Amino acid sequence: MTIRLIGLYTRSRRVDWCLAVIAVTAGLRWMVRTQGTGPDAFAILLRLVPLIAAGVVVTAGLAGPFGLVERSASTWLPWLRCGQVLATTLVASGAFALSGTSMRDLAGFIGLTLLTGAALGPARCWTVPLGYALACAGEAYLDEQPWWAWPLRAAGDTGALAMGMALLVAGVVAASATGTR
Amino acid sequence: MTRLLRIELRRNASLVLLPVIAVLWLIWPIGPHLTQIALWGSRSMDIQGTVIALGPFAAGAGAWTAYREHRHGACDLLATTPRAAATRGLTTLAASAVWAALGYVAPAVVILVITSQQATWGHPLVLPLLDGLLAVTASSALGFACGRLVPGRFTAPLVAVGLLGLLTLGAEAKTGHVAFVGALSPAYPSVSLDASVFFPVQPDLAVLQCAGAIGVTGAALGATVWHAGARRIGLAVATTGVVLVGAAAVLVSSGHRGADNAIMVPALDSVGVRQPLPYTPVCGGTLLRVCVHPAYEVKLAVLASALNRLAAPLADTPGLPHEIDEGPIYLSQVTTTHSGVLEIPPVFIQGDTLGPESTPVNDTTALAFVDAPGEGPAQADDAQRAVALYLIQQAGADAGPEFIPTSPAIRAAAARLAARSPAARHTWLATHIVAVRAGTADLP
Repeated sequence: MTIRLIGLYTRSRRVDWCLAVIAVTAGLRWMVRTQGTGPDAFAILLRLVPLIAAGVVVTAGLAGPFGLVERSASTWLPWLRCGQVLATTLVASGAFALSGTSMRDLAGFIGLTLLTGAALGPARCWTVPLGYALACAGEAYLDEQPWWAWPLRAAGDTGALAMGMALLVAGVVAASATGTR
Repeated sequence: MTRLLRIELRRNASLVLLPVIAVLWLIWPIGPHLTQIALWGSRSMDIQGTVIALGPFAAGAGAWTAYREHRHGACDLLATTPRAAATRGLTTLAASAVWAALGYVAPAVVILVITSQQATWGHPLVLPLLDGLLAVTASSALGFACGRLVPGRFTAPLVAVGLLGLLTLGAEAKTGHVAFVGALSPAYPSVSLDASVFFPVQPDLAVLQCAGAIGVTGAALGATVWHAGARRIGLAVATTGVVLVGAAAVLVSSGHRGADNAIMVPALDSVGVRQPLPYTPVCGGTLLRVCVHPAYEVKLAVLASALNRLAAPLADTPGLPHEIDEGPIYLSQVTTTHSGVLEIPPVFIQGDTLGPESTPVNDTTALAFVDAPGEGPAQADDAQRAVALYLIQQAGADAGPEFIPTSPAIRAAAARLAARSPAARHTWLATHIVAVRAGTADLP
């Protein structure tokens, strides 16, 4: 029963399709590794765009086609959602690690997208991460590093790492508990 | 029809995004620019540059609006209405485009009004402003077409993020990492700002960017009409749009960079307009005379003070440039001529500092003080870098890795120079600076 439930759930969420898109975005990140190197605003955007794409795929994948019917029929949903988020995030981590991406940035952007999805819905989950990435690029253009722009910090910065991981944990909890509206 | 448009305007997904767009305008670097030297060309380009932020949001909102009927399972219901599907689709698209255009035009007008109070040079550049408007409209239409053709919960997010990636990749053509065709991206500056006060504006690229945006809009409109059932008209319009984009891509690929660093397309070129503009430089400074274009006169004192502070330890040493002039060059081309004039690019100054460019300006200028005439920053040796690093540090700044890659030995040499007494340091510099410039000196 459990295996069948998980199978039906993953099919309803098109998880296979999500994983394929994550692999493609990781491939694109690898392809722009030369252009995405350096401190200038456009290079930073090129580094962050594939991460936002992975984040929106993880988040939009949580939306189900059954709506309220599904919510009223099962108490398993939070666990299934949690499993889906963790599994797709794990696959994304593996794929992006191969393309030399910072895991801190990936975790942070997936978390931010999940939080946005939980608050605004899957169709709008891209708005805050996209605006945030643009704000970071704007700060990079001004040669500034405000505390909130953790993707601009150096790789070993513990504060930035803590922010990225906190966003991921908060995002996973919010998405698991509430799903995407 | 007007009533339908009014309803669509009221029920458009873009309305929800307007606060996000307003926040983006507020945090975009255009804000700090408003306190800088006000050149009409620069401000026009700043406004065009917001396309990279507004375009993805317009596209996402367009895609989101486009599959609204699909999302609510209302396709069959709407198919029974008397309006043709193509008319309904185009009205919805028009409403999305109107909101996107408003998100661009309203703040742009505010910035233009502010600039009219501050401007020190030039006049508003219509083509970059128009290019931005067309690009935002094209983004909205493109997103809408994608939403119609591929309705689904992933469409709006991926269209928005994908468009941001495309626009950014195109802008990287500036660094040479991406082929010339990337310059068609509206995020790529359509006017060469480094030279905009020295040469008349070269409109070739702006014209092609406008043509590209019109082509994308046409292709998207065609795809929307085609999807609504008017196959023949839709295909014709879409094909025309694609041909226009293709022609623009071919033309920009045939271009080359001119003396003012602008992209010039032979097929659109007018040779006569590339004569340098006449102007009388404004000069200031104590140790070194610093001369700037009159457009930058209001911040001459800040620039002269910063550059003279950098050169202060070299006072009364042989071979020091006697004048620093602004010219239409890049930072990587900063060098001293054999006649003792150091040429730098125009510097945008924020308040009392050199602004975001302070590190590269300090680095290249300090290197030019200790380089042989005619040598660029890239050819500096370790001794030249050590002396340049000392000059920068004594002025209260630090070098960046782009122009002065430092090793522990170079940093130690700069520290040794700094540790000497002022008299001993001046004696060392006066004795060794010729050898340093010739590249025959050891580390201090």
